[in-house]
Amino acid sequence: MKPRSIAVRRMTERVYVAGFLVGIGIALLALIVLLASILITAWPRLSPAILFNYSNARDPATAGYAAAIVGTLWVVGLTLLFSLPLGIAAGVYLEEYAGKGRVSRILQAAVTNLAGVPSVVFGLLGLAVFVRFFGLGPIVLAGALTLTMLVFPYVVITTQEAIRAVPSSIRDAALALGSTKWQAIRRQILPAASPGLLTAAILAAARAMGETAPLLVIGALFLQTFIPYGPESPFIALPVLIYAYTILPVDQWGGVAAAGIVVLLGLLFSINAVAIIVRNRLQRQRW
Amino acid sequence: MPEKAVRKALAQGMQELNENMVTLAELSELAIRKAVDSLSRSDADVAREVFTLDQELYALQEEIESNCVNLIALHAPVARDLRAITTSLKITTDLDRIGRYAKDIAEIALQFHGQIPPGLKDIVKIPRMADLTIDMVDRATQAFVNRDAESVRNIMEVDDAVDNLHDEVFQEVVEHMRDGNLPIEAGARYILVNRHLERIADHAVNIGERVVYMVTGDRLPRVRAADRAKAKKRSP
Amino acid sequence: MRLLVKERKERETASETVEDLVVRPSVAVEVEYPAIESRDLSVAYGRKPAIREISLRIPRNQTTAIIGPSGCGKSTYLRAINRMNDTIPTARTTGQLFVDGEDVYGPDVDPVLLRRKVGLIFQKPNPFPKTVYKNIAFGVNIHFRTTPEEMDTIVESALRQANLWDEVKDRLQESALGLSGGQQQRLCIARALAIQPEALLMDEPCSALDPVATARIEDLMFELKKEMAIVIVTHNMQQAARVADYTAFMYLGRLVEFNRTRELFERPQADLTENYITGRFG
Repeated sequence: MKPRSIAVRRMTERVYVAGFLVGIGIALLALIVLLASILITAWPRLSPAILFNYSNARDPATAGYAAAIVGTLWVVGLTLLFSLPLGIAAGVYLEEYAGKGRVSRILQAAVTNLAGVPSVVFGLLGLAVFVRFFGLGPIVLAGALTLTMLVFPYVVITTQEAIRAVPSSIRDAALALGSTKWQAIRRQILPAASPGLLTAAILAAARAMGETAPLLVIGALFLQTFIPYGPESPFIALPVLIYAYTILPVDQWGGVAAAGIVVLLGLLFSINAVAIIVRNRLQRQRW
Repeated sequence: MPEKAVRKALAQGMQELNENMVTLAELSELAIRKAVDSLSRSDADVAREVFTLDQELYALQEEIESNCVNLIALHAPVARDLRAITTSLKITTDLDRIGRYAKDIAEIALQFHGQIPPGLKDIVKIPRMADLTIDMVDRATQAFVNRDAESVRNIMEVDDAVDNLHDEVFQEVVEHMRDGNLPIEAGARYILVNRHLERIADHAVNIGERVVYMVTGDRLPRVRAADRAKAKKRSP
Repeated sequence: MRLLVKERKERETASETVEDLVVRPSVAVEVEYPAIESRDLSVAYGRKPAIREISLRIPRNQTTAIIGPSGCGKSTYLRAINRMNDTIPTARTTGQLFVDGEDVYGPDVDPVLLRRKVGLIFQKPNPFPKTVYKNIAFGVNIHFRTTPEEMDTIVESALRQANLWDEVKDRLQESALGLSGGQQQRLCIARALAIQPEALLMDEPCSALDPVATARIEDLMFELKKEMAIVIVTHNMQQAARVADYTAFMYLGRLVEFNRTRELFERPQADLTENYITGRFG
């Protein structure tokens, strides 16, 4: 039996760490390059006017995202309204009440598989069912319902993870005091899981905000010169409009498209930031 | 079978304790044998050996006591270990006392200055008492060594015989002194020896009772000799 | 393949041996009017039996300790008393268990009500990640309706009963997780006491605590038993000797001996008991 060289062990570690750093460096670099290039392209068009102008296909200088911003907010808002309660309820059921039997396993598999379906398929589904079959037409509500279906599995899965992360000792303590299962869930487990549930909400919002294909298929407009007025209004969404601008000649409209991306990212970051602040405040009361 | 020994330190301590106790018991028995021997043959050398034995007994008893306290403090023994330790603590006192009385008898032997004690041959019962007493001590110490409770359950009855003998010897010696067959000094000394032997027998009974407790956990009731005699008369 | 068969044979012989050793448990005391009584209670997880046909009577207003080597089923037995084993899907329970004369495994018994009457303290303190006040209020709110003033009184009285009031009275609205381990465990006890149980089950309550915290909880047990039966599972025999009036010894899922503590520790009846408590195995 011979001792191993400590120098070799240390060196091996350094090599691995270097590898990890390279990996993360590439990721970071890619992100920086991406953001930088977008900012550079968007720079000439970045002004408050971009938030208040309507979209048009004639003059890049007067093109804006006003309607799209409101449209996105409407659609995402309604999506969250529908998907969060449904998704959290389904997640609670699967994690707490479903047994280990065949039916539960099939349900769980269904949810997991739904998460992998390409988003354009949801768009087609939404078109066929909501727009045509139910006759809603290409309105905000139809878009929200479609995105709800898309976002639903993610909410379910994240909810399940959040519940699983709550130590079982809390559940045992609640049950040992004579609470019913639901009382334990509602009063102890879900509150303890709320940071995770908030994550589910953020995830849902981010997906809903960024999806282009389903909304395109549903029939979001490219041009809208009025603010969407409600769930029954025809609408335009940010990602769709950005896409529209990229179809137009790039030397004139490239900046506008890039500016749209900046607006979208800005919206995303602010929603994220708010959610993170809220989550931190919740978590400070815990471990 | 459940897995074997944990607590090696305690097991080792118990073993040491047992070995020391056996030595102590053997020394005690040896002391009383030699003491009786030195008296009947008026042998000063043997008497002096008894003095040495008594000192050894005392030293060993102190060591055993201190070991017991250690075992209790460090290991919190229970059940048979606990009983063995507490019994050992109490028995060392009895064994030490036996050694002390043996020494007293040896001292009396020395006082006869090498001459055969006058009139001792006439008093047949003292040697008989000595034999019974030594037998009781032997039985008690064997019971302790072998952890045998049955052999000493009835040790009380042998003690009754010793007590009766004690009364008879007393009578006999007093008679001989009254008749003038026995010098007063010698007679007084014989009475002392008589008493020492009786006390030794009592201590042997103590040891026997404690052995029963150590092995079985039962505590034997202390029944007075007179009541025992009455009980015997009632049920032959 | 042959190796597997050999292992199984050895395991079978091991449990056969204990069957031989434990023909009938040695129950040396008669308990009249027990607080809790089990008759031939058995619990199995799937096909693995955890406890077999345990018939035991737990006396009122006394502390009863259950000792035995790891895996002998003492925690399973304890959890069977307030039907916490129901939360484990593979657990199957047979036999009867009477709390205050009623068979809690009978057809119409709701475990939720049972658990109010019989509290359970866990090995690792598990306060809720909420304030001290809310920890105690939770249990009360589930079973009772109270006014805010009543709740304040209940919280204070429970904390006093658990010897914790003086230490937390100025921090009732702070998180329970900021308390020390010993304090957290006393909080869990207060939480259980607040709903006025008739019996308190404790599953190795001090094994995660330092000696001073342990001593405080043992003192607490001394007080509490005046009002309720306490059953404590412990693998620390000195603790059982210190706190318990009665002790039950379990081995490989069976009850081996039950007696007053001082008898069991001074002269146990079964050789198995003697060998365990003197440390010859386990």
